[in-house]
Amino acid sequence: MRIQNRKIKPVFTILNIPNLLFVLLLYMSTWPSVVKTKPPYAYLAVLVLIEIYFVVGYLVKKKVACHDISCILFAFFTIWAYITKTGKAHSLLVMPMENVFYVFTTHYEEMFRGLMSSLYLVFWGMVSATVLAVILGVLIGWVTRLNQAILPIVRIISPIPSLAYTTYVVAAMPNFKISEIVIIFLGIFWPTFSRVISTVATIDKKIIDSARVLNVGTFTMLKDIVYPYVKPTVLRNLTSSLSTAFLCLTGAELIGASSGLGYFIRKYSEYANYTNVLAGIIFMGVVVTVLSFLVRFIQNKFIKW
Amino acid sequence: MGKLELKNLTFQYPDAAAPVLENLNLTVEEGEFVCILGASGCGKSTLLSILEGLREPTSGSFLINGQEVIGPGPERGVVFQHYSLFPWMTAKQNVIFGIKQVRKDLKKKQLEELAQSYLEKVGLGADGNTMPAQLSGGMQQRVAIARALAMDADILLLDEPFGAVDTRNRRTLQKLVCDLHEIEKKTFLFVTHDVEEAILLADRIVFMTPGHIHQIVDVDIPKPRDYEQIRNDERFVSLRKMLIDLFYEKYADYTLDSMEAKL
Ligand SMILES: Nc1ncnc2c1ncn2[C@@H]1O[C@H](COP(=O)(O)OP(=O)(O)OP(=O)(O)O)[C@@H](O)[C@H]1O
Ligand SMILES: [Mg+2]
Repeated sequence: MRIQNRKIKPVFTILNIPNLLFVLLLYMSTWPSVVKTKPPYAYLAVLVLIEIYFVVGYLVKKKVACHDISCILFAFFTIWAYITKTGKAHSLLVMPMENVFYVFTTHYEEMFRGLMSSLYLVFWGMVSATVLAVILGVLIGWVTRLNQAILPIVRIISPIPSLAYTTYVVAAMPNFKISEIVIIFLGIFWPTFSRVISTVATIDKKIIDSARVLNVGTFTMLKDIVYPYVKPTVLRNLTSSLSTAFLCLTGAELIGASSGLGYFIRKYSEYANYTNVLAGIIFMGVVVTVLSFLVRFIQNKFIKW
Repeated sequence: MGKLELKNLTFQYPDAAAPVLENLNLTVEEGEFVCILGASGCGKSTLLSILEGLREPTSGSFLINGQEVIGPGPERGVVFQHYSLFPWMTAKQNVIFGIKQVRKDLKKKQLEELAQSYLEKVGLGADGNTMPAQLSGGMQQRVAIARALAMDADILLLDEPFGAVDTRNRRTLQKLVCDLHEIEKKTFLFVTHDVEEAILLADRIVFMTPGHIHQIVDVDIPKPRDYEQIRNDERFVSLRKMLIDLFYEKYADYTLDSMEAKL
């Protein structure tokens, strides 16, 4: 595309909207505030990070999207800062960004512990659900009579959001960790299972025939032909599995739990400490983004056809 | 050992009104090269799918070396009309996978070497690490041929294998098939609708009309045959004329004109 690599006029390397907003934001952070403001270091660090992203992405790599994204982020912070500094909004709900990012420096230990416990649950929930769905799906999809009986039933179960049975699972399971894994498991298992069964059931007959004339036995057929055939479907499905896992996780943590990303948010909501709540939400966003990158990396590495 | 017999073989698709193949009788001797010639839709691929063991005859029987056959077996190597490589394996992995199913004793390195040698035979020695999607249709078909040959089966069943290959490569591959037949004395059953290809390759040509074997023609031209040399040979020319006339006669109401009229 033309737009991707156009030359930037020398004047605009310094005089451009993101740079101007960046300077404005630095200036605004020195304004006296109506509400009590915490030390701004973390906040400034975030602004500098965005500025670096802009300089590297737009001025060095010439990606227009980087320019636009930093514009939007800086504009958001500018509006937010203006509202908080002038006291135009309820200070309990719209607090200075300085305070929000300051939470990261004071509560990082608690956040990190929450992160670890959440990742642990997400990992085991996703892995167990995906592995089981693939193994059972391949076996059941392969046997026509089984898949014709089971697929319609699975199609009824799989659209039920697993949050619907959260309270039931929590009551039925011995402790909260197990019930959270079970909820994540159920949220991912049914849709994946259903997708694997239908992919196997509609597998290209030519592929099966070419394997059959090579004298392939049933086990090899399932392991070396059917499984590689469904693998890309399963890997593509990981993207939605990940978001389902987080949905289930936060849903469950909002009800019970004693640690985790969702728990952090719920705990401070109960104290009406919305500064921490907002920090928790931002943190969760960052975590989900990093994990999505990881999933996409896995997909690019393993989807070969 | 690769003697092949069809006895009163009839086949009808489950929901079809009439059989696609009716009462076929044919014996192919060990080491013979037989071409099946017939227009599109006359049942050539259906017949082959029975020989491949993918379909069971509705009635009648199919024997190899006097034994009735059920299902596919290692004594038969197959090249389909459509491309049939496994898309998630490279060209070489496809060939190795084929060898592995019949030769459990080979080590990884021997498998690699064997696969490489067969890829070289079909002129794709340098393309072993390419994924099928990156190969042209004709190249994919050549990999499929390498895979079938590498199984080292006594009988080879090929369904219009060179349909998607350009003329020059087609000549090379025809020569390859000729040579393989000369050297390895395998039984070949080769489907084609190309009259010249049939004469060039076959010991006998089975001419099919829809559902039936109409006539079996012996090709009395000494082997090995070279296309450039025999194409002006009197026997070649007269055989060619005879088969083309047969096409016109038997498929008189089956020309492109009548197809267009239907559309
Ligand atoms: N799976 C199927 N179910 C029902 N009818 C079929 C099926 N496959 C083929 N037929 C019919 O059987 C007849 C023979 O088909 P076949 O594929 O054997 O022809 P062919 O001689 O191989 O033709 P071509 O040269 O075009 O490959 C055709 O009339 C076709 O419509
Ligand atoms: Mg055919």
